[in-house]
Amino acid sequence: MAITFLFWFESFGLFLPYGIYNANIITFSVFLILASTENERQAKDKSFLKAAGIVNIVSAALIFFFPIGFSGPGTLSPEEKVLVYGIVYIAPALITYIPRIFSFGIVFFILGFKNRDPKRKLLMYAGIMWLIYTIWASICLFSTFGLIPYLAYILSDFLGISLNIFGVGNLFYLLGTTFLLIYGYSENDLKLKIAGFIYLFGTIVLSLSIIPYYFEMMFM
Amino acid sequence: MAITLYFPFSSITNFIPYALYGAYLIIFSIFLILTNKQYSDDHQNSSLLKIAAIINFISVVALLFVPVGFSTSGSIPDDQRILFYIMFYTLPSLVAFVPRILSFGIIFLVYGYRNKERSGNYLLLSGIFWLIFTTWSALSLIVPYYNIPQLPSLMLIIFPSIEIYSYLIFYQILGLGSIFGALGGIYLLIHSFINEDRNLKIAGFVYLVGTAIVSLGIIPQYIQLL
Repeated sequence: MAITFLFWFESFGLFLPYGIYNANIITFSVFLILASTENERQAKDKSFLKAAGIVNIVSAALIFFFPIGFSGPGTLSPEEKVLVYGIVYIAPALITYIPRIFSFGIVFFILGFKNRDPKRKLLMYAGIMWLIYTIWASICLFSTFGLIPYLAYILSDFLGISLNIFGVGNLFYLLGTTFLLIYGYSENDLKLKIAGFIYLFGTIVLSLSIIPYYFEMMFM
Repeated sequence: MAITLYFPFSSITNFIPYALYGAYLIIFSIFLILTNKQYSDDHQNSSLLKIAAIINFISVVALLFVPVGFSTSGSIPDDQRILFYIMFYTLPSLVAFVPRILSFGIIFLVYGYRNKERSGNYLLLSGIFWLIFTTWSALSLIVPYYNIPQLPSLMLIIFPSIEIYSYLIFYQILGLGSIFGALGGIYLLIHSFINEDRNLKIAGFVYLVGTAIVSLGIIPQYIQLL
């Protein structure tokens, strides 16, 4: 039995996670770009926020070119495993999280760094937390949908090592978002407040997007 | 036939998840007491925070005497086995989360409402979100040590004919409740940063970090299995 890759355009259940993921990241990024248009911001801050928004949108669009899963024989040969893990798990994780090291981590760190206003330090803390999170997610190969660390599966499959500790990196995602929201409320920055809530809720709702696919499987 | 019950104090691997959960809840509660002392003169009903802390202490102590597992020698009738499963899936969740409906939900809601004029409505929002979260957690039988809803697994034991995809859908939906817990913690932190309240700031971080790392308590059990 040959390996068949499953793409987003094959069914509604497979499309929905992509749709929600893209809607979440694009809306978040639109609010970053809108925040960059505010007059009271410094020119350097404006260009960083805009660049972060654009990087996020490009990275989200690239995900459409990768399969969401595969079907095939119960046991895969080592060569098939390398191919499947590379295309389905490793590449999408790297495309999702490596750009975010810049667009979430470095950008927010710079926005808060070297600023005398103590409230702006909150943005720096958000940047530090997101920097740790995005690097962690890149190394542990977090899934684009559902924040599952695929490195655990790879270690278990290839080396027989069972380690279920990588998920704790999600703490830094939560802390980064919390600092952005605290900044949004402290400075009454409506656009960054909305961006923070979109990112928080989007990630949670994303885990529900797989439900229609389960329904499809139930009625197959 | 003999039935052996396992408690958090039965072995070090059972104790570590309990200790992690207990430690973060006790530290959180200590900072509530410190906030109560700080505000006893100028905030309305600040003693409510002390009551919340005491309820949390009692709940942590009570949890020590709730069994976390069982084993049997010889065969056990199916209906009795199911009864044991119901007990082990429901008791830890109820002992942990029913008191928290009061100590996190109702108390923060009332305290936040009474002090809305002085410090904004953030604590009130914390209370509302925690009320939803703790009620949701008690109903979906979230294990305090691992943040996992056990109701789907219990349903699978009672009704083994449930299809796996129905189980997964149910599981995904119940997992959604954790957003309310996170929002409660986030609004506590927003309140503490805006009102420059150092004790509640630490309490908020202890809550968020504690909730996130409590599931690491299971690692010694994995190591033992290895």
